[in-house]
Amino acid sequence: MIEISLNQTPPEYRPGDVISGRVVWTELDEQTTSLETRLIWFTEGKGDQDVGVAISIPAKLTAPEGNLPFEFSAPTRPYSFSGKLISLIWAAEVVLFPSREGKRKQITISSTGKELVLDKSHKDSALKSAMRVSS
Amino acid sequence: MNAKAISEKNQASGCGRVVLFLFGMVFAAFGVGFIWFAIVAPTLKSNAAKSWIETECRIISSVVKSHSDDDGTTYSPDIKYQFETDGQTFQGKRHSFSIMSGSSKWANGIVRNYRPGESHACFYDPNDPSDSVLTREMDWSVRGFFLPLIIPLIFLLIGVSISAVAILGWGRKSKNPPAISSRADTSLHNQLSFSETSKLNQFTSGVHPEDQLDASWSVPKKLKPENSKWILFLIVLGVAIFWNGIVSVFVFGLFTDDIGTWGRVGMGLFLTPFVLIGLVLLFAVIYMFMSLFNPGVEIAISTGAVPLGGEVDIAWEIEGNARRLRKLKVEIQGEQSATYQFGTSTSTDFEIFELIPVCEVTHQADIEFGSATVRIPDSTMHTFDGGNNKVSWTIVVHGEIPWWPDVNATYPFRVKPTPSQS
Repeated sequence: MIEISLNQTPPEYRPGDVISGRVVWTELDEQTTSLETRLIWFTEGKGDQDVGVAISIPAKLTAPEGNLPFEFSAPTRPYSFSGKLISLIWAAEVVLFPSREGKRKQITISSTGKELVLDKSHKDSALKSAMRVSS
Repeated sequence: MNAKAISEKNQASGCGRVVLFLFGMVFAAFGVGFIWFAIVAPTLKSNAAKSWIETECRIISSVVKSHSDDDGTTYSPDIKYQFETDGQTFQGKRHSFSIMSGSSKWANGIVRNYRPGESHACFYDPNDPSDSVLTREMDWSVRGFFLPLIIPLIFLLIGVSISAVAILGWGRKSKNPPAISSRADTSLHNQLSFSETSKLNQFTSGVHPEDQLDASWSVPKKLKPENSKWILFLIVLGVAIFWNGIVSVFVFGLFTDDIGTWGRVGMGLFLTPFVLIGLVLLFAVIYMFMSLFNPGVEIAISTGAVPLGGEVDIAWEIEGNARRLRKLKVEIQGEQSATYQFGTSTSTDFEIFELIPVCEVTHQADIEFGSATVRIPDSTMHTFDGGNNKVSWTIVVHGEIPWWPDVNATYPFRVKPTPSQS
């Protein structure tokens, strides 16, 4: 069994923030030889899924039980967002090899730490930005 | 039980695409096979028969043969004849090399020309007199040539399209995360991502492909329209010529072929929607041709990559006769797009999530040239290209011209993350 946990609650980060946590594993079968802790983003929604791995830290397993701390720096982009068609989600993920099974914890990364909501009707009032026209 | 890691998903998608490619190739092979047997082989045989020997033959029997299936009954001439050469008698039953059947009236028309006991010219292969034919000319009519061609062509087009989608899809899917065994290539799996070999320092130092793009765009820019008017016109013209070229063959056959009154009515009804689509395409060609003479709009911005929460100066200038424009509207549009496969087809959906007015002017001087300063909200999303899913930003220009196609143009630019964070 493997688990991944984060040190920060809620898991909201700005670019450059430290994303830290711990991977704990117990009773892993003998075939599992290594793991990777990854900071990934993926899309959900109408489009076919896109996945990106921002950072990946590999580790060899020497015992069937153990734990490993990890630390990433939150990337500058892309921001977490949710729209009518697609959402972009960041996550800290641990992957076991060779089975490629994994666990993940979702996080958000943006300039405010919050997920951006892309909804035109939601923002109409905010769009009346200052505008100067000259000719 | 742990689930498969999301960053390890889609690795087997290449297998599905191989199957899709092969499926398309089978379709295409059927099309090619049909075209070979229905058109190419008879045409080659017809050409070869030009050197055959002409002789006189006697018609033994001449009847109309019917062929029934789920789609109805068709008819073909069944004519038997015999001729003599070098003291030997040979029999044949081939009317022509074209493989076809049709209406009862058509088959009867042929049979009437070959009554039992009559003598007619026929042609035989001097090397194999058992190979003979009554008429060695190919039937180039709609029934004899184009109808046998159209279904195989559809098979061929569908097959090639499916295979093309499979091949193009391979390119996109190759950006998915690789197996750990190919970790050295991890940095290639997505244009927006880095592997552990990139190291934390490198990643946070801003050496990101999208950051590099932003940097190259972060200068005052004269923007180019997303689609050239000429290219759009030529595409529509090409489609219209192709569509109407095929439809016109059938329309021509409708008036020239001997298919009877009811056949003509049925064929006419069948062709009506195709003709209407052809007319719409012709209208589109005329519309787009007229729009080629529209005044152009030049757009320049103070920076091609605007930060979230930042301001941008947008200037416009009309090229050509600005007086033709009654109104000019400029907007900034943020759009998300999602590309997905459904069966064998690939579709893309679009959704506008941000619409920021830049100007809406009606005075001639304001239309001719002007500028505006606009702020991009910091609560929105920067430009993003994940392959299938994208967030893009454009300046949309709409100019109204009375009694003439309007001016419509879009100019892509970039929005980058908040500057203090990048």
